[in-house]
Amino acid sequence: MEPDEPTLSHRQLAGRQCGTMIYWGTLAGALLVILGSLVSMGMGHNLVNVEAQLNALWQGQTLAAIKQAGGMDSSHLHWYLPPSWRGDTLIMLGMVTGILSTIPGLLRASLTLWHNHDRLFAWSGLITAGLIAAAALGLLQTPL
Amino acid sequence: MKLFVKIPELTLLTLLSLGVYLFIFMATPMGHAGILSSNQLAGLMLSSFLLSLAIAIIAVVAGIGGGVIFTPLLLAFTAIDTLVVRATGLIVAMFSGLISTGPLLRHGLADIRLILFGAIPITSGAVAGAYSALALDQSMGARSDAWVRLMLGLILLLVALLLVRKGADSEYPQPLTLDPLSRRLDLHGTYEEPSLAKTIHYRAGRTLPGGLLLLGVGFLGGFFGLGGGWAVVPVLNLVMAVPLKAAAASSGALLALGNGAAIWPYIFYGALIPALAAPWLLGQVIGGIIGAHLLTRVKASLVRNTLVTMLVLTALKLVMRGLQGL
Repeated sequence: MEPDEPTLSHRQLAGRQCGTMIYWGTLAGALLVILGSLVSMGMGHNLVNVEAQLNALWQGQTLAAIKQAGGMDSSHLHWYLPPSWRGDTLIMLGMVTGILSTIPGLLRASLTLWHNHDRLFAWSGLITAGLIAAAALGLLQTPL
Repeated sequence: MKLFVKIPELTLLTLLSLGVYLFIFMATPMGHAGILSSNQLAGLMLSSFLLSLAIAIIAVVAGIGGGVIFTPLLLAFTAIDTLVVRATGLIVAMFSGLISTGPLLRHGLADIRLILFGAIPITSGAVAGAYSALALDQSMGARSDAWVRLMLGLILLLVALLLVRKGADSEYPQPLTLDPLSRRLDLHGTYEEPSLAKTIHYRAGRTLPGGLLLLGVGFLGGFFGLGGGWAVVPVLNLVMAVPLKAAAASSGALLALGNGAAIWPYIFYGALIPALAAPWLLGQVIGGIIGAHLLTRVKASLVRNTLVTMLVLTALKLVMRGLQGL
């Protein structure tokens, strides 16, 4: 007979759900970064000229010069989403996967808190998830 | 070593990362496009990965996020464009926080309600800080950076001094008399402290000043690419009376959330260079897992001493760079 596991409070449960989703989302992102690194630096299959970009970077050139050296076109927001995947864009996709893993984590925790009538903190989770999503969609931009 | 047996994903990530970077170092097909050979570039990547791993372990234990070590380190010892350094610094700060959030919430050392309390101010502040950084870079350039760097260094020294003066009191702060807002929010927590073999109970207070300070911390973190953990921990610990280890644990998650919003302006601007960020990110993830498991076991005094040391070293570097830039 299995020993009884201690019952979690709804707060502890929400915390675990949030933490678990973020943890595995970040790991998935890290694996994509590893794959992207192999394709990018190991096989030289990139959207931009990574070696020229890195040289410009380590020489202390400005960001504009670094982008020019690599032939990077950042005129559209999600420049790393091309029609076909390359090493450097896979690295970016991995980073974005990790960054955005917070959204499902927050939503899951908010759902648990909501069901347990912890509405104030459920709203906080929803608003925070909304802020991160809005930032990712470029909705919080200011003219530069 | 037991950790690598207990956590198979840690072993997998470590072996894959080391394998890929060793492969890149030994077998890269790229030519010689500049002053650095492809072998030297690969060597820099491998070194970055290993250094990042060490930084992450220290950063998670101290609750400060790797950015506060990474950003001044690169600003001090390399000529890399400051926007690129700050963008990568946010990634560094964020990913150690992201990966440590799971284990620390599972252990109960980080508290979800405390995190959700701080999430909105820190996220809002961080986005504003990031856009301000880009706007300032476009309008005023390096001189304004020098002044702000100098001021930030002085603030860090002040925070370190406060932590030293408060001494061991800050490890387990005395309970506060709760104001009405704090009573309403009911930010209490409980965790097991193995070094004392007892359960620690706490109740956070001064929630309004704490929230406002977190807004400011988020702004500074987004602006400088430092993450903000160096200030989040003192706000939670010294202002809101959260025990130091719980503050360090919750800080990691708050960094992840705040920086998760602040990074986007840098991405859209093209300031996040994947090839530079990748080895630092991987080191943070692996080091972050190790650091999270260490934090549950170490004494609070080690956390405080590590935090103070990091703050002072970072502050001195920032002040020097600020003075040089004026």
